[in-house]
Amino acid sequence: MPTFEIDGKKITVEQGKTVLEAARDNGIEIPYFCFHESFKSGGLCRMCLVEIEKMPKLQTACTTVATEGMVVKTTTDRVRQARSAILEFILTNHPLDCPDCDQAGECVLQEYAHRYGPDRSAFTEPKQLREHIALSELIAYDPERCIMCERCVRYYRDIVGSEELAVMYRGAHAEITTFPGKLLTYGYVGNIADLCPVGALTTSDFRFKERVFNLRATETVCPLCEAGCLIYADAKLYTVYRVRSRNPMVRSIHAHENRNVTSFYPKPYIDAISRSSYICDDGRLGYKKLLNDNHRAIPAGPDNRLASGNNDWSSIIAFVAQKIKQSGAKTAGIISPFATNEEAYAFMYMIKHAAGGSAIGMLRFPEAKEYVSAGKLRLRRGMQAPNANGIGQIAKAFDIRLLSHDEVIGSGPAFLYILGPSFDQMDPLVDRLGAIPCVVAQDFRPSRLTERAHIVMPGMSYAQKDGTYTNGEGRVQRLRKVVRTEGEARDDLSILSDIIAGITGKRIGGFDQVLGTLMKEVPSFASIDFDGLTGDVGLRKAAGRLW
Amino acid sequence: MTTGDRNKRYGLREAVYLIEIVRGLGVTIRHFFRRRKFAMNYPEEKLSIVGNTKQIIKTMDKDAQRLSERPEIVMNARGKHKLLFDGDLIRCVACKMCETVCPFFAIYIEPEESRDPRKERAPKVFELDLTRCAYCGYCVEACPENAITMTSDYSLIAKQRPELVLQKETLKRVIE
Ligand code: SF4
Ligand code: FES
Repeated sequence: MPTFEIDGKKITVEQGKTVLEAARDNGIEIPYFCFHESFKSGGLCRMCLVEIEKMPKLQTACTTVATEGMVVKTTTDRVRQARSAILEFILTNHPLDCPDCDQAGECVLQEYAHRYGPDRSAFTEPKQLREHIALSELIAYDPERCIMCERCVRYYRDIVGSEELAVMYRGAHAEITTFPGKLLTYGYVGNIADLCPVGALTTSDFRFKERVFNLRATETVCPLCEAGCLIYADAKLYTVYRVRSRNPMVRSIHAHENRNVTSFYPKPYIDAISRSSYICDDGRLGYKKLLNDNHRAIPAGPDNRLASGNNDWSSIIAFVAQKIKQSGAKTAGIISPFATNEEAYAFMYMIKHAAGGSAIGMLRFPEAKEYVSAGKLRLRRGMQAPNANGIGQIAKAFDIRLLSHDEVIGSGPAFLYILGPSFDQMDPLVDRLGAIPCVVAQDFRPSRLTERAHIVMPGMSYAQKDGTYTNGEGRVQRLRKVVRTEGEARDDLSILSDIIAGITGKRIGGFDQVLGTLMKEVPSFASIDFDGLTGDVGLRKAAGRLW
Repeated sequence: MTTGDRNKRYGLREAVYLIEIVRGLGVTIRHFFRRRKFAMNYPEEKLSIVGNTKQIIKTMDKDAQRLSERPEIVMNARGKHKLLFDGDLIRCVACKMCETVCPFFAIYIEPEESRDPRKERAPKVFELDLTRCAYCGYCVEACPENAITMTSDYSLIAKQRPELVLQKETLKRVIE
């Protein structure tokens, strides 16, 4: 454990840590472009130059390993001049088209040019005009803006291992290319857009959609497979505009957030973060596709005829509660693995304790297959739904054996409650629902099921509610509300808790109370850190600890 | 300008007020006999447009009389907007700076790929709602490409509100 000095501050770091990492972990800012914790330092951008005593020249902090007794200075005039010179050099052929560029607002180059850059350039010649290149259907590459940090190239070399990207030509003509005539294969392509510190790589999905400074980033979980990757969902009002991995660098320059990422997270979680530096393309694109396009849905029932008189929430909930009471032990339920842990608890409580039924099934979603192009990167796991693990654990605590949906329908229930979203997975079974006298669907998307069900209660999508998901590994992760809701739809948990109140007269409470109950009753929730539970925002504060 | 001074001791003339009242009435009576017409037959008659503010201010002191007698509007007063085109290429890059800065949410922009090789994006839709606009000129200030300006066209008359929501085409002004 070498101890050394940066800017007069004594720091002890692990053996083998670089000066850059040590400085960042201790809140000393050294600007950088090309360094990334998940691959080998390249020393390519020269932005991280620092002065080290007894070394005649400035050194790159990202490649210099901290050793005992080193004296590093980051604020001397030499360093300042070097930074400004490097930025001037990088900007010689940069088009400075920030108004055009989608990255403006979260661009590392823009930020550094403001902070450390020169106010003029010695380069007065006209800048090169270069064509855009499509690296894949998802990624457009703009060589004018590229700063040749090779993060994208090293991602393909070190993380994916397929060496699909390379640098061609030299000097001012250098550019990133694929094999001639080939495009990057779909799978883990989108990550390079997150990695690129400037606007050279943009996803066609987000290109021109919205300016980043108008978006608000919310830390949430990707719900599209059991891996439960940690993501940012960037949204404005009712719309999610894009989904990003929680790439530390992109995060670090968000002005309203903590700038010093690695010190913000307690050490053991750094591993989890770098694992979550990458997400798959299905998650990136699919998150939005499966969202609520039906904001104005209204509850329908008791005949599922929209015009029939009492389509207000209180009468429908009263009706459902009364039906459940009547059906008693013949009440059955099917739960979608998109339901949060809290909803699963409320649902099982409703069927088992409030009604006395026992036939509860879980919808099966198709397997999330690994891409052929995945290389070394393997993120996708389990079902294409987030919470099968959590629901299984809660069912175990309730002493319920989860059936398949076939078995539930086969058991001949008098009342079937389907807690969606079912995303068309129920559609093949809809015709078999005929024998059941009362079918209730709580879902946020119209499907064949919602047409067929006797009562439809519009719930919310995963971007509209708070909750927790347990991923395949058993980590409980926080799902957050990303967009606002309008219209009649209601939070799924509050619908369930109202129905339970209608049956038993007892309230199970909101998200935080139910999570508290889960921690008491379900063993796998016992170890969650609950400190940061404050008000209605729930566990927001303890985000770093709730993995 | 006469502003009251609490500590000043007023003389008899001021304390009585009467003389000041008569002086004030004098101004009114003078205007009464001048018989100058202040109403205009708008829209047949319009304000005449003169120079720009700088010139006006220069002549203001000398020529205060002239200004007060002929109703005029200054050429760089803020009226209806224009979007500037270089030939048939729009200057706007749909960066949404004006949309962001507009305090009244009067601007709506949808970007698309630009045909201009020097630029990446251009507005597919550019809507400016004049019924919302307060002519503050922030959009002109915010524009990094000098693509939007304001003209002195102040007569914004329409039979229906949608006519006051201007589109890219109606805002066009070609610069040679
Ligand atoms: S495209 Fe982006 S990530 Fe790749 S070398 Fe250029 S600047 Fe770096
Ligand atoms: S970060 Fe050290 S050279 Fe790029």
